[in-house]
This record gives sequence, C-alpha cells and structure tokens, in this order.
Amino acid sequence: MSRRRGAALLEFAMALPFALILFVGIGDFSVYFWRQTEMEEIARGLHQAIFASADSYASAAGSQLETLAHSLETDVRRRTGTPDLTVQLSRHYACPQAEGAENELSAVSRPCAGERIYLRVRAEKPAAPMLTPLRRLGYPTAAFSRHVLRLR
Amino acid sequence: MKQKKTQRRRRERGSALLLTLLLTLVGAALLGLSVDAVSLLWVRSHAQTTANLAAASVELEQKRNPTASSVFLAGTARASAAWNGYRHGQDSVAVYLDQSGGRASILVEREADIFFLRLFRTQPVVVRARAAIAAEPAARAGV
Repeated sequence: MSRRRGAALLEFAMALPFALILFVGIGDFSVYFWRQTEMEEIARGLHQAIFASADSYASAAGSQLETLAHSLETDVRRRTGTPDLTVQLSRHYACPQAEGAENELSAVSRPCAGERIYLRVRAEKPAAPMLTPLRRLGYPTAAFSRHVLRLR
Repeated sequence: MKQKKTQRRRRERGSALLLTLLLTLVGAALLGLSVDAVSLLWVRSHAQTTANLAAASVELEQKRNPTASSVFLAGTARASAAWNGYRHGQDSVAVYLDQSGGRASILVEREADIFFLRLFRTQPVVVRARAAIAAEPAARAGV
C-alpha cells in the first residue's frame, strides 16, 4: 500500500515541473496579450486627444512637439493609471499622387499641392515574464502600440 | 485474495502518469485554442484602429477637397492604412472605400495567422474591420 502511494507521489513529482512550466507559461502569455490589448486601448485614447488639437501638433516646432508629447504622456499616465508608459511623437509629410496614393513619408516638409501631415505615435510600457527563461526565448521586453495618424 | 490485490496494483501502476499526460494534452489543446482566439482578437483590434485612422484621413481629405473622386478617396484611405502596416494588395490585406447603402465607410480585411485552429479549419480566417466616414475624426478616434 505504502509502496503504491510512493509510486503515485513519484509520478506526480515527475509531472509537476512540466505542469508548472505550462501553467506559468500560459499566465505569462496571457498577461502579455492583455497588455497589448490595453496598449491598443490607450492608443485610441491618445489619438482622440491628438485629433482634438490636431493643428497644434501639425504646426508645433521640433522642441514644442517634444513638450506636447511630454504633456500627452503625463495626461495619459494619470488617466489610465500606467505610470511607466512612455509616448513618442514624430511628424512626417507626404505628397499625394494622382489617385490619392503616397510613395513615402518624409521627415521634412517638401511643399506640394495638397501636402499631408502625419504624426507617428508610439506608446510603450515595459513587460517582464514571470518565467525567466522566456526572456531568452524572445519574450518581448515591452508592450507597445505604433500608429500613424493624419493631422492635416 | 492476495493474488487479486497484486493484479489490481499492476493495473494501477503508471495510471497517474497516464492521467497527467492526458490532462496535459487537453491543457495544451485548450491553450492552443486560446492563443488562436486571443491572436484573432488582437488582429481585429489593430485592424479596427487602422480602419478608424483611414476613415479619419478620408474625412480630412473630403474637407480639404470636397470634389475628390471616390478613387482618390480610396487611395487616401489605402495610404493611411499602409503607414499602419496594412498595405492594400500585400500579405492578403485589402482596404476598400465602401459607399453602398448611402453611408461611406472604410473596410479593412486581412487573413489572420492561426496555429492550432488549422487542425479543424483548412480555410484561412479573414478578419474584417469597418469604420464609418461620418463623425468628426476626434469623435471617432475613441471608438
């Protein structure tokens, strides 16, 4: 009887590490997916705030754009309760072709008929797995959202 | 009596391992399905943001150039979607300006990667997102 109980315990002990790795792995990836979804929600809030004063973002000088990014970051951190969130903004320009298409985004304005102004918005938040070896297997170090929205 | 006990013990030997293996397989299958489901939701969410931004771009274009043709507006939407990773005609992505039913909207489609659902489904899963061109860009961005 005691030998049988010992065998079951041994089998359980053999299987336990695999089960634990599986469950902690599930937890880690769930947390990552949840963070990514959260970042997408945060990004939509960011877009809303940017659209509300699109002209300021379109006409701000380089240093002013950094100031705007900083105040946007502070505002979103406070609103969403994510103190470790970072927001980066960069402005780009494009000239439309005959059928509305664009060939490239340029960092400098090249005046043309109907020039379009875009803002690249990147929001990022650190992410670390509970299962340390996952870092070596390419577990992302941050959850992020990256979008380009048109200002003008 | 003793012989019966020995036989039962022999039958039960390895049962915990077998049960654990079975449960692990069931767990892995559930995990696979959840990974696919979450991945589809993720793609859907990103496609929706892309459609929203493309629709906002078309609205800006309409304000600036009220006589713009629908071909030009579709090109505008595709340009916006392309900068967000959805290039029309590439990687099974399609971006349309849909003007049917009197309401213009942007439709973004993409075939999503599935891993475990392939066991049950041979056809690719197409994720679609639609954004109406009617509201102000500021109002829509938060949808």
